[in-house]
Amino acid sequence: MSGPDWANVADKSLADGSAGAPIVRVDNVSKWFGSLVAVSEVSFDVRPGITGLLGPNGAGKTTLLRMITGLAEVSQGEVTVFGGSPRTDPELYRRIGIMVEHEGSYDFLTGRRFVELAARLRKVADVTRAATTSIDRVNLADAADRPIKTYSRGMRQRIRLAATLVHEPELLILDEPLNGADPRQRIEFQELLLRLASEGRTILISSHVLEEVELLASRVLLVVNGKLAAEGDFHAIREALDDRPYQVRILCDRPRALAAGLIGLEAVDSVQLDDDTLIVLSSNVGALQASLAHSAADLGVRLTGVEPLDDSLESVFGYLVDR
Amino acid sequence: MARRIATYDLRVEILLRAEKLTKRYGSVIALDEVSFEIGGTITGLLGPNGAGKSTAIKLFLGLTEPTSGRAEVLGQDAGRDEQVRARLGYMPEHDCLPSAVSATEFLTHMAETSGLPPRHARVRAADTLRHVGLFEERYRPMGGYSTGMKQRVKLAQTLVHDPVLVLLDEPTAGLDPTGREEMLALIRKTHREFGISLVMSSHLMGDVERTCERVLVLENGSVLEEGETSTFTEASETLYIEVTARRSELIAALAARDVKATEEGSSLVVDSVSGEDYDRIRDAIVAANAPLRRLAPRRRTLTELFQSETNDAEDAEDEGIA
Amino acid sequence: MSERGSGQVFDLGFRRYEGQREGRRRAVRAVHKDGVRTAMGLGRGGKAKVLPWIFIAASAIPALVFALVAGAVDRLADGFSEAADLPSHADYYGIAGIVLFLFAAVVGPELFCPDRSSGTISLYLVRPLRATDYAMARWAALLTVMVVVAWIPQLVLLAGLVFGAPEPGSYISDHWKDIPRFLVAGLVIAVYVSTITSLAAAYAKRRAYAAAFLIGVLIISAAVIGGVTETVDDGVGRWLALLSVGDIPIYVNDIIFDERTSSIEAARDLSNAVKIGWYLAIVATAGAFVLRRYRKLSL
Repeated sequence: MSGPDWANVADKSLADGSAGAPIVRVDNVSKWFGSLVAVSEVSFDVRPGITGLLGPNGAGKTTLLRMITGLAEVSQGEVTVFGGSPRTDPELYRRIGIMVEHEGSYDFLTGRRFVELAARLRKVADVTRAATTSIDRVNLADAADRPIKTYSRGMRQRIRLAATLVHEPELLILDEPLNGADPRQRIEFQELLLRLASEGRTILISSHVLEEVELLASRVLLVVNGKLAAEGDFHAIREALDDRPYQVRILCDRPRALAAGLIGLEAVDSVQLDDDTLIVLSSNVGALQASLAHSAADLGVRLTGVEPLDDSLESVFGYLVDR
Repeated sequence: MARRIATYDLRVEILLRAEKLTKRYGSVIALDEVSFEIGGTITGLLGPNGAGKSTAIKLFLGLTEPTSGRAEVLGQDAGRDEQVRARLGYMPEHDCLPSAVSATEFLTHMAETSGLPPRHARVRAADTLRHVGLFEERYRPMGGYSTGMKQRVKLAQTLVHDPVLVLLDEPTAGLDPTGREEMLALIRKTHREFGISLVMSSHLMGDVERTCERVLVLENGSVLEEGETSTFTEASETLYIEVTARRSELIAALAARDVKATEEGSSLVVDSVSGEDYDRIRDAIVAANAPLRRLAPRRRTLTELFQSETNDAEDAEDEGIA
Repeated sequence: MSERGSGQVFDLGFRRYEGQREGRRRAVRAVHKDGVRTAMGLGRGGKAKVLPWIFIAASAIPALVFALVAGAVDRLADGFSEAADLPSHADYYGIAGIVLFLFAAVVGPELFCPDRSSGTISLYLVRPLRATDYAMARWAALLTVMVVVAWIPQLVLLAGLVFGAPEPGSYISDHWKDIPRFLVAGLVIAVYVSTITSLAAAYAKRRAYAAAFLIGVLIISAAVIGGVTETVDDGVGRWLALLSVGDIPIYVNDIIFDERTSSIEAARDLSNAVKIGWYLAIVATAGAFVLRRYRKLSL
C-alpha cells in the first residue's frame, strides 16, 4: 500500500535496529487554553519517512507541532521524542530541526553566518563544514556570503532550511514551510525532502497543499477540531470511509454494453452513461476492482481508462472535515 | 465623464494586450519586450517569483508606465486614463480589509469609489455579498472574520461594480484545503455565471489546472509558454496501471503477452499503448486476477513546465529581484 | 370553486450593472465622505464616536466661558465689557487653538495611516482615481471636520454674546464684522492643522506615531521658541517666532482681527506679508510632500 520511499526508509531503519520504537509518540495528549480546547485526546506515532499533518485552519496542527517540539506544554497526556520528553531534555534539540511558517531571519547577517549561528546553537562540532554542507544542500553556495536582506523570498526560505538542517537532525518538523514558494522552489524542496527521508530521517510536515502532501507523504495524520480524524495511507483511509460510495470513471469502446454488464454486479450501486464515459458508483470498491476487468473481458469490451474520481487526498480530506 | 466611460467597447475580444511591453527598474529588466493577448476567459498567470507577473499587473492597472512598448486594457492604453479602472477589479494577495467596519459598509464604499452612485452602491454591495456567500456576518466588523470570509469580501470588492475583467493575485495563498476549494469554485462561478473574465496569478499548479482555461507563463520577463490549459495537461501514450494486489503476477502476465511494463512508485507503466494493446492489458489483468484500481494515461501537468530548468537560472532571477 | 393565485419566480442571479458610472468625481467624493465618517466615528462602533465629541465639547467650553463672563460683566456694569476688552472672537483661537491641534493630531492620522497599514490603500489605487486624488480627498475630509470644529465654538460664543447682550440687535450691528472674521480665521486655522496633520500622517507608519510627533512638535516648539524669543535680541527673535508651529495660524488670525492675541511677543515686529507668506509657504510645502508621498505608493 505504501509508496516506495516509505518502504525503503522502513527497511533502512530496520537495518539500523531503530525500528520498533517510534521517533515521536503522542499519547492521549490534550491542550487547552482556558476554556478553549485546542487539542483533544490525540494519540499517534511518527516513524521514519515523511508524515503529512493535515487539517483545516485552527484545527490544532500548530499546537500539536509546538508540543512535539517542546515549545508548548501539554495540558494532559504525554509527548515522547526519541524516548525522552522534549520539555525537559534539552539534549533532544540536537536531534530535532524545526522550521515554522513565520520566522525572522537575521537580515544583517550573511546567509553563511546565519547558518553557522544555528550550528553553534546546536553545538555542532565542525561549524564551518556543517554550514557549508548544509548551504550546498539547499543550492545557495553562490549567495551564501551576501547579507540575507538582499535575498528574495525563495532564497530566505532556503537559507532557513539550511539552518534547520545544519546539525543533521534525525527528526524534522516543518510547519507550512512552503507558503509563498514558487513552483520551481516547490519542486526542489520536494526533491530535497524525499532525499532526506531516504537517508532514514523522520519528517513531519504540515501543509495545506494536498497535492504536494500526496506526492511526498505516504502516511497522513488528519486533525479536525483538535481531534485526530484519521491516520494512515490515504488510500486506506478512503477505503475505510465505506459510507461514501466510490465513483469510478470508465472509458471503453462500447460503454452501453459494459454498463449493462456492470449493473448486474453486486458491487455496483449505479451506472451513469455520459457520451462515451461511464461513471460507476460502488459501495464495495474491492469487489468492483476485482471484477471490472473480468466483466470487460467477458463482454469483449476494450477498457481504455479506469479512474477513481474521489480517492484523492483532497476528496478524503473533504469527506473527513465535513463529517 | 460617465458618458465617456460608457463608450468603451465592452465586447472586445481581447481584454488585455501587451505589445513589445518592456519595464526596467534601474538595471533590472522586469519585462523584456513581451507580447501577448488575454481574452474573455479565466487565465492563469504563472511563473517563478520575480518573473514579471506583478509588474505586468501594475502596468495593466495603469499604476506604472512602461519603459517601452504598450499595455492595452479594453482596447485602450492602460496608462492613459484612470477611468478604465472603473471596469476592472483587482484582488491583492495581502490583507487589505479595514477591521473596524462591516463588510456591507466597506463594500458600499468600494462601489462608490468605483464610481457608482450611493443608492446603487448599497444595493450592489448587498447583492455581491450574497453571491460570494456572505450572509448574516456581513453586518459585523470584518476584524472578527475567518480567513475564508475575508477572502470572500476581498473577491466581492472586485465584483461589486460589475467589472469586465478581474485580476487576482494569488487568490488561494494561505488558505486551507476547504477554503481553497471554495475560493476556486467562486472564481469559476464568477466567470460562468457572472460572465466576468479573470486573470489569476498562482504558484499552485493544481489550482490553475482546475480553474483556468488558459495559461500564460512568464519567466525572466519573457513569455515562456501560453495556450489552453488542456494542451499542457494532455494525455500521453504512456499508460499507468495500478492494482491493489498481485502486482508481480500482473507483470508476468503482461510479459507473456509481449507487453513490457516497468514499475514506478505504486504503478506499472507501459509505454506507447494503442489499439489492441488495451485488450492485451485487460486480458493480463484477468489472467493475473489482479484487482484494478486505475488504468489511465499519464497526463502532463503544468508543474512540468518548471521541472526542466536548472537551479542557476533561478538563482540569477532571485538576485535580479533582490 | 377555488381560483389559483398567480405565481412568479424571480431571478436572483448576478445582475449586470446598467446604471450610471460617475468615475473619478464619484470616487473622490466617496473617499471624502468616508473620511468624514471615519473622523466622526460614524458607521463604526460606539467607542469611535466618543473621542471626536469629547474634543468638540472641550473646544466649546472656552467659548461658553467667554460668553458667560461677558454676559455677567454686562449685567454688573453696563457697557463695561467694551472698555475691559474681554476675551472674544479674536482671542478664541489663541486660547482654544491647542484643542484644535490635538483634535487633528488624534483624529486626523486615522484617515491616512490605517489604509496603508491594513493594505486597503491597494484597493483605492486600483479604482478610477489617482493616488493624489485619494490624498487630497482625505485631506479635504479632515479639513471639513476641522472647519466645523473650528466654527462651532465661535457660533456658540456669538449666540452667547448676542443673547447675553442687553440689546441683541444693537450688538449685532456693532459687531457684525466679527462674523466674517471668525469664519475666515476658522478656515485659516483648519487648513493649517489639516495640512500639517496630513503631512505627519502621510509619512508615519502608525497613527499613534503621527499623533505623538505632532503633539511633540507643537508643545516643544511653543515652549522653546516662547522662551528663546524673550532672551534674544528682537531682530533675531522675530524670525525665530516663525518657528513656533502652533502660533503661525494665530499670527494670521491676529491680522484678520487686527488684534494681538499670540503669546509670542517677538512676532509683532514681523510684517503682515511675511506672516501670511510664511503661513502659505508652510501649507503649500506640507501639501506638496503629502502628494509626493502618495504619488510614490505602489500596490
